[in-house]
Amino acid sequence: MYSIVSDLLPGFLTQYWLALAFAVLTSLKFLALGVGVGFTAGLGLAIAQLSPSPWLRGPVVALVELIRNTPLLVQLFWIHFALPALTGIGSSPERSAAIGIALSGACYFSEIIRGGIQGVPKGQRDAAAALGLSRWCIWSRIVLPQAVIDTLPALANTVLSFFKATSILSVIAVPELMMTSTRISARTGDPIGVLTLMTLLYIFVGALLTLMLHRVETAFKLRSTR
Amino acid sequence: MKQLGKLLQVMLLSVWAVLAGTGTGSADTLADIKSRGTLRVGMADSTPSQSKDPNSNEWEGFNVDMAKNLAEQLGVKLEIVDASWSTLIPGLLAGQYDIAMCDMFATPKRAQTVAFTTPYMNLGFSWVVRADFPGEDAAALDDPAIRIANLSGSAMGDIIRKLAPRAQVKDVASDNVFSPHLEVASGRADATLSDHYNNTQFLKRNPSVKARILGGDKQFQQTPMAYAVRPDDQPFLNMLNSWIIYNQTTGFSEELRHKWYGF
Amino acid sequence: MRLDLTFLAETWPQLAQGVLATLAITAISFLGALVLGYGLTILRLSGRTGLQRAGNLYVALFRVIPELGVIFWSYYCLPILLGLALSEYTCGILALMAIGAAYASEIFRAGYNALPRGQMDAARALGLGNWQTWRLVLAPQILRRTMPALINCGIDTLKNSTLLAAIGASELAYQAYQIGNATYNYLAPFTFVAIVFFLIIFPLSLLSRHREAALQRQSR
Repeated sequence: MYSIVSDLLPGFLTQYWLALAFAVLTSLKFLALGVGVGFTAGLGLAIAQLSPSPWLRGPVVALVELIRNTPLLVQLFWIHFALPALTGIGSSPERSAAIGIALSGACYFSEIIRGGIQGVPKGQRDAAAALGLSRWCIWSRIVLPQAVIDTLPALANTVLSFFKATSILSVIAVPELMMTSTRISARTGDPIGVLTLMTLLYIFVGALLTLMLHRVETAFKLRSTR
Repeated sequence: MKQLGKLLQVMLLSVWAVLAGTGTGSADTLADIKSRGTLRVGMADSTPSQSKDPNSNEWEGFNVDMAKNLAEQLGVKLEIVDASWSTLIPGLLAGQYDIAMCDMFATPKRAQTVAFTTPYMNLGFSWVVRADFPGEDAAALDDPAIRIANLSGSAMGDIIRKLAPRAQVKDVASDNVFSPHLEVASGRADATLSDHYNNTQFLKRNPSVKARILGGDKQFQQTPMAYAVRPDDQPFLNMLNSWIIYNQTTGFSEELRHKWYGF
Repeated sequence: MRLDLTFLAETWPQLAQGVLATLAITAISFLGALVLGYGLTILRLSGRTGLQRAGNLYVALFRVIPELGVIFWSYYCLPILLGLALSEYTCGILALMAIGAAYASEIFRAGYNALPRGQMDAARALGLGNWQTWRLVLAPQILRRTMPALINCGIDTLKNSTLLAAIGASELAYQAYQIGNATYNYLAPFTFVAIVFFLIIFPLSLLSRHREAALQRQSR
């Protein structure tokens, strides 16, 4: 096994390093999309989940549960085939993947942030209201910042798990790292070497992400304790 | 909580109804292609029949040249739509492209979902066996002690079960065409029946793997490969069948086979 | 596009077998992950730098390698390293255990760190031994606090079990692939998989929400 790896690593690496680099960037692009759009929409969904009105809360909770309780793979199938049929707008793998990962991101982040909001003592909200602060001010300055900072470790975990989840996009033929590696392995006839390198690339990029998230976490914690 | 359950039930049912109710669209694809001016072809990776070069991001292979020829004959532009093996047929049925041009094996079960063309060529297959497998006779594989690996969804599964009905067959559901070879390489399986081109490629690139092709470097099984269109697409299917036979008569298909498969 | 459900009439024994295999694989993997994760947590809280580093490295690694990568490695490389013949089920379960353990360990550690420091001292003052302190005071609290997170960890293990299709373990997703590949009808079997998953996960998810809400009421 080891000799196979060492025999073949250089061959496909010199030939396909650029394609692999682009594949990593594609994975990161979808991660950024899932986290960026997902987190923003997740804030809104989290507040909606806690709304006193059942007409707002019900559908949002149902959506969040539906997405969190079914595999992303099947969701991608649905989005790729059912959505174009419903809306009449054609879909490309990239577009379906973008919708799928953003939707999934929104639901997972919303669930974490909801937990964070519930962890902020309700007295703070009442006190702020008694001081005459506007609702926007209460949420954006008091509740959400605390909810986010309290849940930073969980949010960071979710970012990492979405980094891994980008590999699932390969089922609808998005050329991210997993898909590109499979393609290279089929062309070079060298599945073990290519898959080993792929794993190493995931570890390398994942380690960088972990460090980055750790920095962000410490920075926020420092600010909040000041 | 009870309300929530009800709500979810209704949502699921409506998704189901929508999925079940949507139609396949127009039935005269040939006319659609002409008026659109573009032939849309769905492809999923399988070297060397059709695969995307990771460096150039361009599709290439036998079926890509065939698709170019088809577009030329129709007098329209060619657009290749990316798919994976699991999305290839759903994408065709959802109208994302006009035809799926991949190395597909036409079985009666599959033909109940899509319509297959006349076979466009016969693909060659060979057995890869463990290096210490005794003899060169494939008949020895028909033994309850023998484990044969197969890529789920490939033509091989049905053929293996026919050729070696008593052997244990293990299907692997993966997008990696070399999964069955890895089964043999890791000693989990005694043999696999696969595309001859991929077999020689795998053994050439992995010289330290303890496996070989049974019966020397010869392919033995010729399996017909076909393209698929939507089941209600008879006019387009008629045109495609004539086109395939025409290309076989003129020798165009053979020329391409030499170029991409080397036989 | 059509969603043809007739496949259910013909393939239900295959699908039922898949559901059972999925449940069995998940149960064994998750229990293993809890035990392994517990051990890992002890290493990480042991106060010995070497062990602590090793434990942290393990968790960091498994948090970034895609599950499929771990499964491939466990299937193709582990048997060679160990010199043993391992089935696809053994390798798949080992991989899911290894992944789950990293997450379980994170959860246990967070649960332990959230305990007020005074408790240990109070228990000592009451004359409880190490084992008794752990069993009567700390463990029940950690378990209660981490219950929602542990349920989610179990749900993740269940979802990850679908990836074992790639190494030929005949769980539910594998059966869906097999049916899809045989009939070229993919959407219906995969939708069936989603519905089964929903039916299993949704009650667990409700339980997790319920436990979480109960905890918050208590802590106030």
